[in-house]
Amino acid sequence: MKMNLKGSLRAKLILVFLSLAIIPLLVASIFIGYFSYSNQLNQAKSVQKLIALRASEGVLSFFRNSTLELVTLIQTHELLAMNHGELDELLRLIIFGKNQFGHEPNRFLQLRILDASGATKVVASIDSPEVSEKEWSAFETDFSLVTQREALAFLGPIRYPLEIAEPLISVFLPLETYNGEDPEGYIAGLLRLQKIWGHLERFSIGFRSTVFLLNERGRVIAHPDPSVVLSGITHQLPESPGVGTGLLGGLVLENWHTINFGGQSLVIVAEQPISEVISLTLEFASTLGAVMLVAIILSGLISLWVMRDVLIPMEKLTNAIRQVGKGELFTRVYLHRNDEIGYLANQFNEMTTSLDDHSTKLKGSNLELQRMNRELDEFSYVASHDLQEPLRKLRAFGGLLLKDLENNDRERVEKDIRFITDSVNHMEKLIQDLLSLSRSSRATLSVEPVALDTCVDLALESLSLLLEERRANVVREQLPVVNGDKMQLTQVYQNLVSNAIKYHPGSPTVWISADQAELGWVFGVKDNGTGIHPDYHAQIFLPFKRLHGRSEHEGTGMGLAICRKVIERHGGKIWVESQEGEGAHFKFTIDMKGIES
Amino acid sequence: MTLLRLILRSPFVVPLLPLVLVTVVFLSACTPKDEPPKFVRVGIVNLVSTLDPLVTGFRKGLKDEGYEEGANIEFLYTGPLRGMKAVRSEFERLSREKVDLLFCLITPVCQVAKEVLADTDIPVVFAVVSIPLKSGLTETLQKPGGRFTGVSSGDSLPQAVEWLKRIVPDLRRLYVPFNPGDKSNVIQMPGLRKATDRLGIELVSPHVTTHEEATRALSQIPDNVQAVMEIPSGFWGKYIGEFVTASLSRKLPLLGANKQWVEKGATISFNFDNEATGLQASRIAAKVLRGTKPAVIPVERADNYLVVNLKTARQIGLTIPTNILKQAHQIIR
Repeated sequence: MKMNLKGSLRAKLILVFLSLAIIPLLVASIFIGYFSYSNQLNQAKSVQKLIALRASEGVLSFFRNSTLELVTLIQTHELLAMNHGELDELLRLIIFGKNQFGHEPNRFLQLRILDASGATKVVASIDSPEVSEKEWSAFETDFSLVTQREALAFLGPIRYPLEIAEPLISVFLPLETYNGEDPEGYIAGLLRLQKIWGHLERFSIGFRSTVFLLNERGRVIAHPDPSVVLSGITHQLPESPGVGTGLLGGLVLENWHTINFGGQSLVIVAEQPISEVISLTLEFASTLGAVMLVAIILSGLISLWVMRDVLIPMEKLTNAIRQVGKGELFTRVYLHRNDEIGYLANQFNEMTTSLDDHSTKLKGSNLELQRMNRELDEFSYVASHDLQEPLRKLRAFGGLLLKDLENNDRERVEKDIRFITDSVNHMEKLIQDLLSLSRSSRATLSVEPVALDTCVDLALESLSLLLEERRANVVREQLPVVNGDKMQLTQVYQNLVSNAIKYHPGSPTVWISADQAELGWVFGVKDNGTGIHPDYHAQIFLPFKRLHGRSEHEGTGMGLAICRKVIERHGGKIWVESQEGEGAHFKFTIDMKGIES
Repeated sequence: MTLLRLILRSPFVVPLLPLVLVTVVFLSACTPKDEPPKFVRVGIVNLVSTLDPLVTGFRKGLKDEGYEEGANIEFLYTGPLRGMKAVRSEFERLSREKVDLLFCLITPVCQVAKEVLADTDIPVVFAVVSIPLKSGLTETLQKPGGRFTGVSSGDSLPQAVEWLKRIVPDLRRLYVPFNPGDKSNVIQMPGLRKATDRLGIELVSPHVTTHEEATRALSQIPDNVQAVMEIPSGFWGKYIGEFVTASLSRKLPLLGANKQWVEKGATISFNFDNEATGLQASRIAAKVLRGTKPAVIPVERADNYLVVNLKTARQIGLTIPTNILKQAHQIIR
């Protein structure tokens, strides 16, 4: 199982956070967006309808007002009975006149009185006569259309003559219509549609909503942008108001109103780009998008943070456990946290510390056991070997004694018995020393502050006979007080000093010293004896190890083994620095810290 | 930093990035495009101080169109300039300033604009240009075809003379000082002559080129004329005082160039209204600023209005018929 858990936990955390952040928003936004969209669309539809209605009222009233003046003129004056000058004045009054009711001058480019055949009788124009004739020429043919109509006022088709630069529509009103006979003449006028442009422009909401005018054939005849009119494009209205393709392309919301006037059917269309209609929804969507983005980022960060908080310590713990499994018991996890995970890590650390301690102790015990086993092996080998020697002598001299008793050779018998006694003594000494070594290994240490000078005093005292006999000279330094077992340390000095005296042919000198070294005291016992070859520096501390025959030097070879055992039990080390023939310098340390008494 | 590194190392950064990108794209697509008009700079070049009200009307009109000065429009207008040299250097300056639109007044000034701005694509809206086709500013009135469009003032002179004839029915000889050295005078003279011929009026037009000649011409009006008029031009604009004085002292009706003349004592004028024309031009300018090409915006023509000074009429002993007064756009009493 390799980190599948980690991966899936991460994925789960991310998914949970993301869904928590987004799903409620998404669901809410879908509902709100849908309602706000349909609401806005309905609202905009009504507004568009109103705009189209109002604009059409304006257009209608423009035509009505303009023609009404002419109708009034016809109804109040006997126009055909008037002379040229009077008619001219009346027509000019309509073109230029201005009154306090806001009558707008210059609506008509020109007005004419026509006879029944359509020939001009009187002209009044805002332009000079030459120009006005040129203007009229484009509309003259409209008269032929009039007779086919019975309307009170007839509007001709809208024309946009190149040379005039503004769209015009011809208006014809019969001078007599009451008795059913053919009219005797007409008032004709060129109405300036440019005046409607301004009117339509005022109905544009913002800069992207447009109101325009279509004629019966769907051709745009008025638009706030004259270039649209100039391009002569037509627009097909859908069957019912709503969303469709706009005049200039793109999705728009359209609504319209049709007006009929003077034989013309005009459609006023109001359209607004759909993007503007639902701008609120779009704004809502964009705000929501922003909120969602922030939510995604935040939830991502939070999930990463949570992962960092939970998964990374878990990873660390897992790795640590794996290390412990491999046997690295000193593994520790440092999280520096006060929460549950921190507590877990602390417990883990305590556990590994405890495991480590036990393991160290076990290892120590194991080593000790191994060493003791090895020593025991050596010891039994050496002991059996050394004990065999007096036994062999006993057997040999026992046999000789029997023989010599048979021969009744008293002198030899005495010699045999002396040898036998000597062997028994040696054996006894060996056994005593074995006991002594065993004691030094097993006896309970009574640790207390010990002045080493006292130990040396006691040792020299017990060796006083030997010292005197050999006329040995002991040079002493002041020794410190240490923690240790007084009796055993006395034994160490006694063994070392007696060895120093023993292995000197003449009168030996022994130096007893203590040096303060970097890691503690180093104690020394130096002699000017025969010295020891470096090859034997290690062996001499083994039990029964002797470098000389018993005939040369008295002893069992247990002295230094006992010394080593005592020093080791005191946490120290013992070694020798020596060359053959140059004396020996035994040194040892004592460290009672951490040593059980 | 540790957190950042952690984020970057996370295996979820890779799938998250496209998600973030998609959201950003979605946001930018959804942002409503309905912004207020962007900030624009409009240069105005005017040579005639009496046309300042037109500039005012233009600025007011743009404000009505949603261009608030300081907020989204800046006008670069140093007031009426002195002389054509100044006009040229002003156009050069505005061209360097890379304005979004130029508004120029009167034909000669706009012709300089055409010359100076030949290499630029700055659209130009004009006003008080009598015949844009003749001046070479546009190809046709309906589809100007170039960078120029605006409001033409038309040729109102023949109509103006007709109005004069209507209030002075016995007008037979009309005193019109003429400067053959002035381009504007020369352009308008044939139209004027045609109109007077049609109306049976004889033109008395002394040739004047210098200041001395001009003052002399106005202080020594012959006895056998029934009215005085000024050919609308920058040259005669400076002699408004002399014209009015002569009119009043000699009790001769004076046909002024425009409303300002009538306000200062001329008897009548028939011409475009400055403020109304400014408003009209501003509508066109707004279209251009919103992106419509001037080439497809038809040249509109300014409406002309009759203005009558009844006070002057009384002073010079002239009775203006009521039906004429009914047709007047403005009567100064």
